[in-house]
Amino acid sequence: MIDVKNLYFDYPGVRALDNVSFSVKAGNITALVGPNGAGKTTLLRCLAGLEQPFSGSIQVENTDVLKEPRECHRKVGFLSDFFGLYEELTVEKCICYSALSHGHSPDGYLSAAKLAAERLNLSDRLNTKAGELSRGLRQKLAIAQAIVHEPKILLLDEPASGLDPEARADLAELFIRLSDQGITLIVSSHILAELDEYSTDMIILKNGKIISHEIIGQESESAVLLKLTLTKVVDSLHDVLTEVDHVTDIKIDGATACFSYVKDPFAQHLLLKDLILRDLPIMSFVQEKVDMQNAYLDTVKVKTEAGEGI
Amino acid sequence: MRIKINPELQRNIWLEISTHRLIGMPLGLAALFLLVFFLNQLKVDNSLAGFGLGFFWAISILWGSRLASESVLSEIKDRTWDSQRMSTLGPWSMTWGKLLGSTIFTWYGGIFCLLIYGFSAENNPAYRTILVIIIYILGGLLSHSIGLLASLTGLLKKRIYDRSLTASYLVLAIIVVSPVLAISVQDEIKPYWYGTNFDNLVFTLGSLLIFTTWAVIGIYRLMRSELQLKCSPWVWVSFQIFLLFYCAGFINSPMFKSTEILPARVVFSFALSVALSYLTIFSDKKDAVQIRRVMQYMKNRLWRMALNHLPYWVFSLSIVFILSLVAIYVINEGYDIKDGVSNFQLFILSVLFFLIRDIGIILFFNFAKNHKRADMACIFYFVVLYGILPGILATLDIHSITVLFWPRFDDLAGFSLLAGIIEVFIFSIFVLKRWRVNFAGEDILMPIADEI
Repeated sequence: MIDVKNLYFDYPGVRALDNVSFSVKAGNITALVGPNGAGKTTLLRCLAGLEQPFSGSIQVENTDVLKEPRECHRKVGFLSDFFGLYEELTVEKCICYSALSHGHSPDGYLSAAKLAAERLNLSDRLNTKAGELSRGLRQKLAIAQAIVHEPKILLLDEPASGLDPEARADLAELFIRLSDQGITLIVSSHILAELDEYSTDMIILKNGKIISHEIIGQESESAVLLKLTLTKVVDSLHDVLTEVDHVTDIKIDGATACFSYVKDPFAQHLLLKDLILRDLPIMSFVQEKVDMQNAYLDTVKVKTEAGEGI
Repeated sequence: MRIKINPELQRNIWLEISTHRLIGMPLGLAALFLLVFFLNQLKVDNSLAGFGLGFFWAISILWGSRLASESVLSEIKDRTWDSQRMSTLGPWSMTWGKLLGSTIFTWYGGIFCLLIYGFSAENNPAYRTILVIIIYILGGLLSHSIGLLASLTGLLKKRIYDRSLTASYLVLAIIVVSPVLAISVQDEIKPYWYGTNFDNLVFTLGSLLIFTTWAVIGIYRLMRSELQLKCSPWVWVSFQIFLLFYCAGFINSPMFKSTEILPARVVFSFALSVALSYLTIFSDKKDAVQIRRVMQYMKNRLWRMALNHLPYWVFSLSIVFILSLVAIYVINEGYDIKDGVSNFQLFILSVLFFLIRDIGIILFFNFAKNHKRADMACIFYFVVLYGILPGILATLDIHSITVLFWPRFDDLAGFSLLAGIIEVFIFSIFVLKRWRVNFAGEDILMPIADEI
């Protein structure tokens, strides 16, 4: 679906993208994360055919973006982090203009616009001027404009910034819906908690380099992450856990321990029994989901220690 | 089946044309012309026609040029330009959609003014009235095109909306078009071009048609570049050659002897090409990344790609170089110089070297890490080099040292040339050093995608 190879992008005196290569499968929702200035926006703009990289190749749906940027625009929708709308036009006319400028016929543009408005739950706002919409609704209108030509790929740069929690939840729901409808999404954001709700994979970018591209939310077939909380700090906790078979990746934080263990529920029951018998003051014993925030911080920590992407 | 209308034009119609405006414009103009009609003692004559043209100038040319020059810049200010670039509109659709769309309301008002002119002008023969109307329409189109072209050229350097810049684009459009329109209606003027007298209206009409076409082609090419489509540099080269040819046509026999006409035309073209070189390098982006890209293409022997990415000032400088050689040759022929090289020929070579030196200065400042006001700094230093320092030396009565600052065509022309060559050498070292410190990066293989 998206295939990027050896991408370099230079601003005068600064290398914004440094040998970036990755692939994204159809239907994925890929989170693009990294600190400010990591190159996320530049990468998205290159993927959208809005910037010419110094070197490298970008294939989007079998289209070479550098060779045929206009063909790429038929297949890609892009929402910039600081987008604008035609404030004096109504929602309907904004989407109609987008439909017409994406090649919809004079007979078909109106129905395409109405469909896009419906997908974004904007049907009841068609006659409202864009300038009168709330931040959340403006975001929806911008997305409606970006998908009115039924793109296979949607690139969104910081789509949730400035939105209230309700609007963010709506947006997350929308992304899942769009993904279910066959659209591949790449979403850049600082707010990892929100990406957690819908992302299938995560690309971590730092100093213009990809330091990790991993699958999110995919549980191991044989192991799970368990979280053990005690009523008080026990100094021997790490030693006790190390003695138990199949316990790996132990992380102790005060009275809490996180570790990997076999997935089998009966084995987990026996483990709990064993720990109680070892006289640990157990308060809770739960299965923990690997969240994006932790995955990101862990990856950045490991890669920083290894000196990659710095 | 509905007719397909240019989406950009459609959007502008939605934004610019409302019922209120549709009614308000003719009503306002009717009131205005009625006032003029009464002040003109109820006469429908050339005075009323003059007001028709004047109001057309104010509405369609002045106001329209402002709207045209702001059409893309306001998209950038409102952050809608990227979504337009993401559309599938081609560069032609974008060009005429912006050109006609942004100015549509001013054309609407302008048409009423031209109708008033048409009804009240007392031209003889009557077809001249139609010619004047066509000339004014083309003048409007040219001024709008210049405004849009200048604003798109400005975007190459700075992608922001700047009110003072848009005002300068408007002034440029008005300065170019207004004198032409003012002269076009004066029957006593007979343009004398390449030894032939032309009818003023016909000559103006032809010139406007050709220059409007060039301006629209220029917009089309900048739109291509905005839409990430590739552009070859030959259109710019062709325009420059055309402009030199067109302007040289006004140098004719009463001003010069028949043997001097050719050298005079060549020297004039040389001077104009020097001016165009300065214009090009100041308006072009002195982008280190672009130059590195060209160098990489050359290293990878992708000559066509290197040529397509070369900055335009390189082509302008090449034309200056060729014309300097032609000028030196034709001066010899035209003036039959027997005793070697004349001071004027040395002067022409000095101009070439001082131009290269100045380009070196401009690149030196633009290759600095903080180069935000590099071009303004260069203009300041040029004022110092060409004006203040020679002025000080002149007041101290030591004229001979001015050979260091500008080309001379007196007996010191040879020294001036020598100074030019040495300064080119010095600034080349400065530029190369700064380049190596700030921008020389690792070699990267060129993408296969660009090998087209």
